[in-house]
Amino acid sequence: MPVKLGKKVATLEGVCAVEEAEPLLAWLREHPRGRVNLARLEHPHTAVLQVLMALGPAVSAPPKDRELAAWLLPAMGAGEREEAAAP
Amino acid sequence: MSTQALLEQFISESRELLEAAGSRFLELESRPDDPELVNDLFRAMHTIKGNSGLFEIPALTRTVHAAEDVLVAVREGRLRLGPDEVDLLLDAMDQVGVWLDELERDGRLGEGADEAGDALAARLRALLGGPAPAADGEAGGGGGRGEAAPAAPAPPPEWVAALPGRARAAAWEAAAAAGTPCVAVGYEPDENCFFAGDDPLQTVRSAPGLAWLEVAPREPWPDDPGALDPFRCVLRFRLLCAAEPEAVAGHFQYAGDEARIAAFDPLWLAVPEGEPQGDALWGEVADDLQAALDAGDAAALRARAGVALEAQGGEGWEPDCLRWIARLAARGDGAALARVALLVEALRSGRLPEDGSEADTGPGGREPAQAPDGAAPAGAGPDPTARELLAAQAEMLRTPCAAEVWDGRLAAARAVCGRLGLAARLEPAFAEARARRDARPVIEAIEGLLEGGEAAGEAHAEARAPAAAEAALADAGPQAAPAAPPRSAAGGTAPGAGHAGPDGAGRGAAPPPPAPDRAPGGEGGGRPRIRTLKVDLGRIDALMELVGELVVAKNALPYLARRAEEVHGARELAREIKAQHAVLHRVTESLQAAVMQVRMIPLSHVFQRFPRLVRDLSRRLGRPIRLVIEGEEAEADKNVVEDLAEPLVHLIRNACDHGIEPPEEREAAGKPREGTVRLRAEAHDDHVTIEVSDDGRGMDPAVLRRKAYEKGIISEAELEALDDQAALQLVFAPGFSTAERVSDVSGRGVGMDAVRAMVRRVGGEVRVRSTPGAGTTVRLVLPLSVAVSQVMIVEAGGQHFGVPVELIRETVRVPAGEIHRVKDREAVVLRDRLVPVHRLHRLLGLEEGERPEEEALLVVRVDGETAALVVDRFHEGVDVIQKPLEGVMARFTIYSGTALLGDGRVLLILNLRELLRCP
Repeated sequence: MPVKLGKKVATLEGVCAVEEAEPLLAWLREHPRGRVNLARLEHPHTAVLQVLMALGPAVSAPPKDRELAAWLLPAMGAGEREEAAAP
Repeated sequence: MSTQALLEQFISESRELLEAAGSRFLELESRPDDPELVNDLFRAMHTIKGNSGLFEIPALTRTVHAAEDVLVAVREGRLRLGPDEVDLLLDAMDQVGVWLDELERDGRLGEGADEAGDALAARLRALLGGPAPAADGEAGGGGGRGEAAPAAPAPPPEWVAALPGRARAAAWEAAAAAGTPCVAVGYEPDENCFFAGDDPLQTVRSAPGLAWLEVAPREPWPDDPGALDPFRCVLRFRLLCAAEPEAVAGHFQYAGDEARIAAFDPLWLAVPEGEPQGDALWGEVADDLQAALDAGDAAALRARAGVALEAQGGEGWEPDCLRWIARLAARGDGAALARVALLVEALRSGRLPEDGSEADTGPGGREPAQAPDGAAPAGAGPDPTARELLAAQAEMLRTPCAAEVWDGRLAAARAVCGRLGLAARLEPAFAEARARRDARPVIEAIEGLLEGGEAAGEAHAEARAPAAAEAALADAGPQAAPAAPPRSAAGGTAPGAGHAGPDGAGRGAAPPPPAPDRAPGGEGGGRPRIRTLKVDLGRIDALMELVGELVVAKNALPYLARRAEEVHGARELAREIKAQHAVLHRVTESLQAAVMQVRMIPLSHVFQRFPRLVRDLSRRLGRPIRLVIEGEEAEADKNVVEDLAEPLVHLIRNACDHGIEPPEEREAAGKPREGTVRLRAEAHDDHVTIEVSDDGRGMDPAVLRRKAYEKGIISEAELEALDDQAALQLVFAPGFSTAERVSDVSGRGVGMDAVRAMVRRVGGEVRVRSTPGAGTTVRLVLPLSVAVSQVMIVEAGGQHFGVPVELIRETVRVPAGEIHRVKDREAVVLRDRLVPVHRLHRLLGLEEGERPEEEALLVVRVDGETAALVVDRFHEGVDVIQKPLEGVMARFTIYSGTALLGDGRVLLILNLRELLRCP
């Protein structure tokens, strides 16, 4: 299972297929303060990407894949939110 | 739809595509310039690739992707496929086939798939002359660059200039490194694309030479996350690629007009950003640079910009100008220096002069009609006009083709029409065509459209098709069709457009009807009804089983009638039961025929793999061989067709290896150098014949006889007695091989034996004819169906046995005295012929009853030999479903199977061939 939904953190790993979008959305709605760990994410399906972008959860660990991080984090607006959440 | 169901659909769909692709590749070899072939193949690869993205099978995806790239190169004329290239592509297809098998069996790819995939992809990409997709452009260097290198002078879409500086810098560096122009792609995937199995992000991330990617929603996200539909794609992608525009256009081909692709000279990226500091110092730097520029000294320009940057450094408008000047100077051509002049001006004034004309130093615009926002359609360039596209569809549909390809063709034509925005207009015609399995309605509709823009226009208006489609036909300009606004074409305002949209093209031969049903929120009424079903074979088999049981149950009624009459003395009731039986019998037969019809598939399923086989053999043996296939549309039961594959492979191998002589030998014999192997099928009422013939050296009965004797297959007496026809059949004897040497192509003398065994297993027969020097023909006669067989029940030693009706010639009763004893054998003269007599009870080791005055003789013909079987009594003939013997019983080869009778008894079916060989 490439998406592990924990108590506070959802961990996305490897290639996340389209079926992951719905559970992830449900989890993020249940956990408005939940964070996502993207460190080992390789490729989110577009549907998963949409959920990440629409809900814009805080990122507990950015993707190690720099190319992915380069566009994914801005798209999630993660930068600002993270900073806002930090203090 | 569950993942498992998706996977199954993917596997079956991909297999079909692969099979079709295999034969297409072979055609491509002889017609490398046929764009339709290349497009077909491209579509197939693209569909497999696209669908494979749903599952975690990167090796497969990579391989297919590489094959797709090769096809793009072929389509663009950058690569020509020779036999070696086709070999490689075929290898790749084989590997994908193996993976599909693994996927089906284990749910994942086997060990080493990644390595194999990488290796294949690398070999495929090596054809392109570069190691990575980004190198596509380089490979095109020879031909394509001539016109591409002076660079597209058209400005990029406005959003390019508005990108953050680092985005543009990254694209610049990438383009400079790859030596390609820049390509801007604005991609707004169809809202329902997920349901078609697409992952636009995957497409985007695998774009050739991707240098920058930005994702944004097309509409604001809902405030309430609960209102978010994750399966409705509302994203907009913007990409900058450093690659040849053709490669990018090819990559996004199946995005249709959802992707707007514009190639531009990377010079356009040079837009400084930041706050101008307005320091007087910058004026001096500008003067300095201007001097170098006036001298046309690019090196000095670059050096001075570098020094100034180091000295002043920092962020802001001026340093950014300097950075761009340094980059442009490094390129140093006229266009770059012209742009530098603008930047020097910008450095001085704090704003970029509002004029692109200085940069426009290239020759006449490559895409003069380009819209200001740079919307060039995917697949721009060689695209024929909409009119031609339509005409081509009609032409394609008019061309006769094999039944199973037909669906794909129709789907493809429908997809193309969808892309032209004509889905709504043509949908009724397509639905009708599907229902009637006749493309004529579509052809007529297309012709109607082509017969004048006016009529077509009206038609569109009626059908509420996007207005752009009208333009597509009226203008018929190269840009017209794909330039339709993406949302109008893809948004699905017209009924049917939801799934017949651009995305449909990518799915090629995929069964399109289910798509709208899976689409959420599809409010469009009047959807096309589903006309064809894909049904799991298991269900058909289950149905067949039930029909079999029905046949058995039906067969019980005559017994019941007899009991009613004999035991209970109710004649009236017996008659009624018999009448009911007649009705049931008729219905059951119709039902049986209907189910059998469902199971019938054309022989082309098996035949289509042979062009490849013959081609490979021809290359391996170094003999030119032509394969002629006739009558592949003949149909037979799926099981028969599938079981046929292996024997036919043997036969074709034999024909190529042993039959066809080396070209020199053929020339010496006055034959054409190229040998011909002919595969011919013909359907008859209850059987189908298949002939494999070659025009090779033929077989000499005398040689066969001698060899068979040497190998101890026949005795000396037989050596004398065997006529030529019978001698030829010796090739089917176990352990017989006439080839002087064992080649790696055909086997070691087990081939023909195995062929006969396999053909017999499905109840068929095989014969060989040959003329020395002129060729050999092997003829297979196969039943259309193996499911239900007719047997006659005979009684011997107090037991009942079934004898297949097709073997029985007649039933006669002769006075016991007419059976003569010749030594230890018995024989009878029937119709002036001496027929050997066997006693069934003796063959089966049963007790003999009292010898009657008249013997009942069952005259059968097996393998061309007539024989008479003495039985105690004849009973009726029945339809039975034969079941193979299982367990310990399987050892008794004198029985071919069992069948359940209407009264519950189990009937053993005799295998007369084995039985008569015993004595």
